[in-house]
Amino acid sequence: MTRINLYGFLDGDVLGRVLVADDGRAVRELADQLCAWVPSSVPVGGDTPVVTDEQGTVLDLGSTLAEAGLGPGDIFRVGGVPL
Amino acid sequence: MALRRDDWLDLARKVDWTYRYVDEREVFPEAMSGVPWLPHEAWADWSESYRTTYREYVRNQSVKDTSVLAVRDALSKARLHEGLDPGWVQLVKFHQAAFALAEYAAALAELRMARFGRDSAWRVMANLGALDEIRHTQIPLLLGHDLLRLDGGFDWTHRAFHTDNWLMIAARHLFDDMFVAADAVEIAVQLNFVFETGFTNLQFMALAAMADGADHHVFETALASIQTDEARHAQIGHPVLRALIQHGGREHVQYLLDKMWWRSWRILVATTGTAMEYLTPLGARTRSFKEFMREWVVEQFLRNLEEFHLELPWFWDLFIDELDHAHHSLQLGLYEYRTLLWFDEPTPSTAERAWLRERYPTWETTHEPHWDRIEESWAAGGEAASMAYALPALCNMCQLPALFVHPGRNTACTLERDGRRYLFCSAPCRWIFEQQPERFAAHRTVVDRLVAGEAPADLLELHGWMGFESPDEMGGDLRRGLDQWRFAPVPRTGGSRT
Repeated sequence: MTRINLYGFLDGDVLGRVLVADDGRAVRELADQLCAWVPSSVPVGGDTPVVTDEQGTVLDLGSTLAEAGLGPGDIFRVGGVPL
Repeated sequence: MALRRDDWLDLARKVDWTYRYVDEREVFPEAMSGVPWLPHEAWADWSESYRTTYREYVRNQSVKDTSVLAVRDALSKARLHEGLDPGWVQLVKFHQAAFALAEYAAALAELRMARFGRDSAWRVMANLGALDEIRHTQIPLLLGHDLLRLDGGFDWTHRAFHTDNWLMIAARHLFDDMFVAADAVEIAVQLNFVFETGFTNLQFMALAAMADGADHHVFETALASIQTDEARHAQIGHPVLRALIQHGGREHVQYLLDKMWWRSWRILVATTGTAMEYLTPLGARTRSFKEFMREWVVEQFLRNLEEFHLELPWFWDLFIDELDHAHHSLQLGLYEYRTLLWFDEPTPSTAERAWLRERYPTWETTHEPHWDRIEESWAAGGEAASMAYALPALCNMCQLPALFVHPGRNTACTLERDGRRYLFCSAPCRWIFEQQPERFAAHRTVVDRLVAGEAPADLLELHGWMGFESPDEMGGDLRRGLDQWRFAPVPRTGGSRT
């Protein structure tokens, strides 16, 4: 596994955040970590987080970061966070 | 009989040598004088409205300095800052540190034009501009020194520009691009025309009006005095633009203008926008930042564009959208990462929230809920719970946090170059990078340095790396998280550090 830095943008937040993670971690874990680390974020609703890459492609929550094609310096977006 | 001023002034201002032993291009090389390179005939009509002589300059500046010092003396140095609003004290600490030594860097830029400007009248004006900028360094250093007795954090007035504090890296990155690492033409367009003509009214006159409202009269007088200098030497920009546009340089002018409008806007969001709306006491707010921007900056800029038949920057719609939101988003970031600042940040009080809702109709839905969440976090977990765990993602152009224009509108984007992926807060920042990648590619943001191991990952060590010499210097919550802060006035003890 390789540690990579990623830029996470959570719907309901106001800034992008840096996350460093092993590329073997699940996309869902990354989304959960981003939600937990932002004290001012506002829930935006939805039952399940929807994670997309910079191009807007929806990523499989169960896949690893590497399988999802996320590499160093990539952007990911998280929307639809549970209320 | 002594000659009248107008009988000798043109002769004195227009001393351009005819070179016999060197070529004009060698005296004014393109790398220093700028492009498009034009023979002197193209610049021979260069003039501006002030036409100040050195004798007039010395006399005027002496009067201005006397006025500033008289206010300082009249208020008695020992009592200069009694009763100042605590938030305002932080604003002054922020402003002085961000700009004092940047003004000194601007003196270097004026001196570059004083040597490599293409007409003698331009060079004379730039010479006076250099003296102005030295004055603009000395005044805040003097006032900052006075404020040391109130708050040791004012040591940052001089220190900040020499540190690797993230906000100062952003300021230096901009000012290096705007005028330190620029040729004479670029300086005239970027510094004089865009930044000084466009933005310093806001930076100095609007802030002076607020200083009056905050009863900080020595600061008010100093800012207003500085702006009279800015208004004069900013005039360098117009005749340079005129000559460039008349001789085939329109495309280059438009590029420099677009680039520096966006970059100036970004630093104003971070410094002036946040400070006006969150550190200025309510009674001193004559207008909102957005209103100041529209009336004092945008209208003036549009008139300038019209004068030269230039086009609106291609990102204008995004800029207009950001007027309502960008500084509010960044303020939340400043608050969450306040230990990395040299000044304190507040959460808006009940009355301030009402003011923000009135001035920004969407603020209630876009940004106020975030302050609610922060207060909930304070209540549930204390101060630590009100700060972000993750580092902010910093833009590889403006070096500022990649902010959402507003929640739901994220403009961040990336670019791959030579195996490295760059992050940008917005398409304009990426576009600026793409125009001159060789100029910007080697620079690393603070986050890049952390990830690469070039900056310490340990937070305490990182504070030292950013220039903080003790925990007392680091920013905190202005009201120290007092439970009743929204219902009781903040103690007016003269600042947070005793």
